[in-house]
Formats: sequence, structure tokens, C-alpha cells
Amino acid sequence: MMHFTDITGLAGVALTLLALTLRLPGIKRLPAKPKLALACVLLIALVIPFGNLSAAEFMRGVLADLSVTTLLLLLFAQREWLVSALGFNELSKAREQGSLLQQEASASKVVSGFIQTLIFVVIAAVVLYPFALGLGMLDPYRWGFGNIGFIAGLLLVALLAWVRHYTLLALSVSLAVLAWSVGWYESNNIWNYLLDPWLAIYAVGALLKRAVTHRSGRKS
Amino acid sequence: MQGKRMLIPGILLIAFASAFYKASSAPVAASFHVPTVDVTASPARFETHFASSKTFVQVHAASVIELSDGRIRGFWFSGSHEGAEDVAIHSAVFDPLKSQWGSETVTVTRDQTQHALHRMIAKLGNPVVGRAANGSLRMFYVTVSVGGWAGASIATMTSNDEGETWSEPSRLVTSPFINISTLVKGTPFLYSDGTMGVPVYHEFISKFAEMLHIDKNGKVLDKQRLAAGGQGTLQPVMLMQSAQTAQVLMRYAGSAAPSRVVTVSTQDAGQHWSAPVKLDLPNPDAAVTGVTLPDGRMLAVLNDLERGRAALSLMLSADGGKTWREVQKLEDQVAASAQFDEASFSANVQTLIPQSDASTTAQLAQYVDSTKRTVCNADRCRYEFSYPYMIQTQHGDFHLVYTWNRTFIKHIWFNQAWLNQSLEKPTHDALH
Repeated sequence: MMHFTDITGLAGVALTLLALTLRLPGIKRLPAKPKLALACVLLIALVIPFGNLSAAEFMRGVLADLSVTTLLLLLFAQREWLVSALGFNELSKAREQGSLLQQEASASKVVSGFIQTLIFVVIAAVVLYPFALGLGMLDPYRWGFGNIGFIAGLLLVALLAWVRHYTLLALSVSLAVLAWSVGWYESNNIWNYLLDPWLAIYAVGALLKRAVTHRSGRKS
Repeated sequence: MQGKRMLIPGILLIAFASAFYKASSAPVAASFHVPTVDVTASPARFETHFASSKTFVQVHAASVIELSDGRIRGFWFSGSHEGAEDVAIHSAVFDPLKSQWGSETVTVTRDQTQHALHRMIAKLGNPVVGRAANGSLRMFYVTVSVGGWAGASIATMTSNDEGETWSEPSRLVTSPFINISTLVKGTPFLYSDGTMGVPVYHEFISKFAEMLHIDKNGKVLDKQRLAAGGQGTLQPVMLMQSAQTAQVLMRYAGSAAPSRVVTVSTQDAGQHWSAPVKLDLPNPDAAVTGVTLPDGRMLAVLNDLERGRAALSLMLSADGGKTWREVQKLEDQVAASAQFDEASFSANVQTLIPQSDASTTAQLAQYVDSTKRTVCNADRCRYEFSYPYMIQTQHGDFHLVYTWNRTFIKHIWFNQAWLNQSLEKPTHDALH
């Protein structure tokens, strides 16, 4: 029997693999509708067992369940073609009617939220991983099993993010905490919902790349 | 725009209200549930058997549990070699009335685990079983998806018929790092509120012992560090003394001499643990086991050596683990290890096998060949007596199982009368 947490775990892995495939050159620039059709075919291919395991099950053994933040960022990365493919162009048209200034301000806030989310992930990774791997007696991973102070700290982060218009960060933290509360995954630890090592590696790489680009931009 | 802006605090409110509710309804700290032992007077007994019966396989990491009818069920992993795809968790039942082990059965395979957990599983390892508060058995066993044992996670499943059949396994999530590096070896125990404690350990990058707290449904409630990574502690074993006090013995895998068994203790049912201390018990980076007697004395089984696993001893401490004396040398092939050629080894095991299990006479040649194939390579044959696991039954008898040359699981059954008799004998060994 498949448990609810197997469905959510496998769905997360399958959607991640799908989102990464759709970022491949050649596929990335496909028009929205054919891209959606390809995405559906790929998703089916990922969850159908070949031999004993489906590709999603095989990769779940390697990747483990992916954090809510990872899934949210991947969804964020796919937002433009998804909006178009799913026929939400009305929204785009409405947006077009707004002033250019408003659009720029809004885009800037979203992008700012994205960077702040990556910064949050890197800070969380630095706080968590070295200690969880045995550095000293303090184990921050333990806080994730429902420590009230830890949850209060996350509430503060989410509130600050909302006040500062870092929508993506506020959503990431809130949805991760909500997913933990309802037992979305097998894990009973909030950290597993907030971040995973793959996201931490990506966040470090993306921030480094951004820093290098900014620096070379200033020089030129 | 305002509506969109207010969506976030709405999600935030629901998320954190649910989180605070969940956190505040978690179980409060409970005391240890100390099992009652009612020692039945009986003549001295010390007998040995092989629990496993398959030949030409490697077996390792045995554990045992007393069944409700007084029989003993053992578990171990068995396959072509440690880490192989065909390794499965095997089981057999020992009937004390007949004084013999029943046939060996397969409890769970890698394929079954992989299918039930819906993820790739490359190998299985160490199984341990505890009795839950509702009377069912709960097994914890090691699974690895990628890499070596340091990449292990724990699967758990339950049995309502004393280990005949089992539920589908589920996954314990115990680590933030792809859920890797939590392994189990020590005996699970109960808290007074019916939740379960499981001594576990971490091996990835650094090595340290931990304690898991599991709820009645097999969910992880808490994970507590018993020693820091630099302290090189593995395979903790809980020796409960009272509802509030306990001592944990640990294998030492660190590099700082001397190589000794490491201990930590608690005075408040595991809420806080003392700093790790090395005991005067040698430890060649090998597993130890132990139980607390009803009178508070402690029994331990370990390789009483600085190096190698060619000897195994039963030790007793009457002063809370400060000093130990050897009760019985259970295995001793240290001298024989000097003659490591295949011919000497074969001649030696030909006498050791019937001593370990008298019922093996008919298959002696096969047993010798099987042992030779498992422990001899081109250069030499190595003796190994390792991974001891001991329990005390409700009536006070002791059942010890351990890996016998990676070829068989050996079982030793002794009782309180034999222990008392052995302690009366003068010992030539110095106190540790």
C-alpha cells in the first residue's frame, strides 16, 4: 500500500526532475503549449516503473524527499511558461495595463525575494549542517522536532520577510512550517521541510555566480 | 493588489498556528519503563548453539527478543557477503523446552524493502527488535540507498504475531543530510508513557552515538546526541538502572589512545547525559552489549582486547561500571590466530564447531568448509567473534547471540545460578 507520504515524496522528486529537464537547452525555449505536452509525457515516464522501480523511486533513493523551499523555487523558475500554457494570459494582460513603473517595482520585489530566500537557505545550511554532522554537542537538527523557540524564530523570519516584501521567503518558510504541521512528508522535523543539501548547494552556487556577475559588471 | 498582499499573512497565520498547536501537543518527558525480572530458581545452565543454519553465506549483526510464550526469536542479516544485494533479514526461534533452534526463515528482503519504501535500496543491515507498549514487536533495521554504511537510514515495521509476519516497512527520518547516517545496533527500550527509545549512531564524516525517541506509531519525536563527533563513539547500549538512571556503553572508534569502552550516564531519564568517559575496559573498535541485573550489577560482553576480535569475554561490574571482572572467557582464539594458514584453521574449527553446537556433527565437513570460505582469503584466516547482543528474560535467564566467524550466529544461554557459580570461582584475571 502506498502511504500519503510516499505520494508526496515521489511527487516532489518527479516534479523536480521534470523541472530540471525542462531547463535543458533545446527544451527550455519550446513554445508553452508543446512544452506542457512534453512535461505531461515526461511526468508519466518518471512515475511508471521500469523493472522494479520507477525513475522517480530510483532517484528518491539518491536525493531523499526534497524540501518545500526547493519545490517552491522550482515552481517559481517555471512560472512564465506555465502561466502562458495554462491559459492565464488574462493575468498577463491585466499586468500589461499597469504602469511600467509598477511592473518594475513588482518584479524587483519578486527577484529580491528570490535572492533573500537563497541567502536564508545558505544561512540555515551553515547553522545546521556542520553541527548536525557532529561538530560539538549542540545539534540544531533537534530543534526541528517541534522546539517552540525555533518555531517562534521562523515566525519572526516569515513576518520580517512579509514586512520587507520578500514574498517568496515568507511563503517558503510559511509553507514549510505548514507542511511539517500536517505531516506532508515522512519527516517529523521542520528542517527537512525548510531546506535540503541540493538546495543549499544550488543557493551557494547561485549567490556566488551573482556576486561574480555584479563584480565584473561594475568593472566594465 | 491589497488582496494578494494579505494572502501571505493568511497562510502565515494558518501555518504557525498549526505548528504551535502540534509542538504544544507533543508528549512531555517520561521516565524509563524498567522491565521486571522475577528470577526463577533453577540448576546452573550454560549451553551453546548455532542460531543460524544456512551454510556458505555470511551472517552478522544478530539480535534477540523474548516472545510472549517464553521462546526466543533471533534476527540477523544473511547473504553472499556483507553489503551484497541478496542480503536479507533472517529469523529463527529458539525453544528453551526443546533446547533447540527452529528452521531459519526470511523476515524481509531488499526487494520487499525497496518496494514498500518506494525508493531505491542497495543493501540491508543490522536488525534490532523491541516490544512496544501494546505488546506488538517493532523491528528497526538498517537500509542503504547509496554508498557504504555511513549512508544508512533506518526502516521500521511491526508484528502482531510475535514475528511470524510483519507490516510493510516505513522510513524513519533522522537526519537533515539526505536522511543519511543513522544506524542501529543497541536494544530498544520503553518509556513509561509507552513511547520507545532506540540507541543509534552516526558515521558520516564523524562518528557519534545518539538516542532516538519514537512515538507509538513509529514517528521520530526527538533525537539526542550522546557524544560529539570528535569523541568517536558508536553502537550505544542502554543499561537501565531505575526509572531515572541509566548508563550507556559505547564502542570506541576514535584514534586517541587508549582504546577503551566509552560510557555516559543519566540521572533524569535521559533528559541530560554526562560527558563521555573511557572505562577500564579495552575495546578494539568493536561492538559491546550489556544488561543490568535486578540487584544493580552490570553484565557486559565484549572483545577484551586492544586489537582484533579473536576473543570474547563476559564481564561483571558491581560498582556501577567503575571496575569490571571477567566472569568467563566465551571465545579465545588469540593464540590460534598466530597460525593463520588454512590447514591449521580447518583443523581448529573442526573442534570448535561441535563445541559450539553439538548437533552439527552430521554436517561437520560442510560447516568447516563454509567457515573456511568465509574467513580465509589468499593470505590468511582470521577469527572473528563480534557484535554481541544480550538480553535478560522475565525469569532471569540470559540469552547472548553474536557473530561466529561471520559464518554462523552463535547463541549462549546461561542463567543466574550459573552466573553465581562462576562468580564464586577464584579468578586469575586482574580487575579491570
